[in-house]
Amino acid sequence: MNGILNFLLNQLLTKPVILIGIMIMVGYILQKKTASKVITGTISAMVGIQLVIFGGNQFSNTFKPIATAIGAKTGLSAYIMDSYAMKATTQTALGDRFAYMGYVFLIAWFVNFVLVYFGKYTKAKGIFLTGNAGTAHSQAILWLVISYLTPTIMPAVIISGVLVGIYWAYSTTLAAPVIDEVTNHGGFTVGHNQQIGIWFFGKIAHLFGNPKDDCENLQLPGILSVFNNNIAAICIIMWIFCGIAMAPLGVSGIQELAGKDNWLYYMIMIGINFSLDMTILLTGVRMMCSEMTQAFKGIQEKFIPNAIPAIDVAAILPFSPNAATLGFLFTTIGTAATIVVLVLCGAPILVLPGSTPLLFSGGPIGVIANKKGGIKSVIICCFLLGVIQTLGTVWAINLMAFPEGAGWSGMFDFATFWPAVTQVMKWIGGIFH
Amino acid sequence: MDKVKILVVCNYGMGTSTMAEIAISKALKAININAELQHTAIGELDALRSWADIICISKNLEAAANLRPDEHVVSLVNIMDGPGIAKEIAVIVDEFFPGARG
Repeated sequence: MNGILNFLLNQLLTKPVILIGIMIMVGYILQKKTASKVITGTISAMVGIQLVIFGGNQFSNTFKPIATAIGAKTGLSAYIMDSYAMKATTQTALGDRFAYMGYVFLIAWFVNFVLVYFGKYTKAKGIFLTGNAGTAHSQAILWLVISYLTPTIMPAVIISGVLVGIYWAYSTTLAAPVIDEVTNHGGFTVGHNQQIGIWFFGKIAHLFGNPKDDCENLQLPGILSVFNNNIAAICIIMWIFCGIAMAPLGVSGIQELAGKDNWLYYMIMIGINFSLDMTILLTGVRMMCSEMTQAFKGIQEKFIPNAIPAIDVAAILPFSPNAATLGFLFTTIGTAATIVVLVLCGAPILVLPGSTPLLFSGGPIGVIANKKGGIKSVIICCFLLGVIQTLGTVWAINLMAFPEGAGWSGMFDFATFWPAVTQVMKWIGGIFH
Repeated sequence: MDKVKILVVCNYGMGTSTMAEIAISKALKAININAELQHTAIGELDALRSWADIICISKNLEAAANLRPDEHVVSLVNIMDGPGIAKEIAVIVDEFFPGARG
């Protein structure tokens, strides 16, 4: 009997795919889904988890040889700033402990739920419903808590869940008034990776321009729409930034990396492969999370109908398509300028942006700046956003406690608020160790 | 009764389109339109394009979608406004897919 229990607990239930698979199956059963739905849903979710783990490893594998070569030639440690780089880093760092991310998510959601349920006293209104971002937060904060506060898993899971839950409840509430204004009382707030950034730029964006100079009156070149295609965007951005970062290697250095392939073929495949890795990751996250969103939305509607649903940030982009595109553009420029300044100042860390922070922090901040101060404000706020996110990501990478990782998020809240929390955790941890 | 097939499209095919799908599906049930919904990313749109009778797509992505004039398209601004979107879908359903009306 002990043997069987030991086998179950130590060999089977420690595996992320099994543990999270079981959690999802229980979720389906609690929702009284049909037997066929329980079976198909659970198996798809398990395949989804494996895709996420596989895609994350591929992401690191695509970047590692490039980072190593750049490091050997220039002495710089190269990292990617993209939410999916943070996902790849923390799931590798956690190993089998990645499974506990599921518990962190549940605790965080419960904390968020309770805070909003007693909103009269707590002032919290937003309920986080974005499964794709929420799972990433859960695993990242779990890793940081394990690294700095306690390696013991149960307290680490509880502390992480509480921290993430408080962040969800209050960051979404902070963003709510601005989102309400931008969407003409759209009935939602943002629950993603840049809510605090939305609040911050919502406070200052009116200082830089006039809302009458609306970006929507402009005719933008149609070619810019390629950056709205997720598959093309990541590929082109990686070509540009990896291409420039690899320039010091020269043709001979790149040929060395390429092995028996041609160097130009190798360069072309960098963009294609990053896009492939992202597609695998997105497919996996989609299979893991879409039913989950439905379940949590159902619970919210039933028990706290007055809560403000906090949803994916891309929901505000259609309110100002041109501002979203210009926001992306000027965030990219601000990011690139900061990277150049960092290199010239001799910073030891080189960060290369992926598409996510440029499109999903840059785009939304563009929409908000346009509403508050028109095109001038879009240019200034988004350039500033690029500066803040790039400097903040260097800070966060110094604190990520896993130097061999592919990189960190690059999104506003993970370049400002979370590294600050991590710094505090490091001090607290330092007192006890 | 026939079903009308609706494809919801957003940037990454995860958060926004999932939430839109939930809102639209609920609103369509309320006005007795029999629909099957799926969501996807703009970059993967072509894989599901032939499946869909109606494409619901975030307004900011329309230019990137290279939509054909013969496709039935609903442009999404507020993805949480299920009833408003369902109303636009209903106009298309009544004209082209009347079998899906309950």
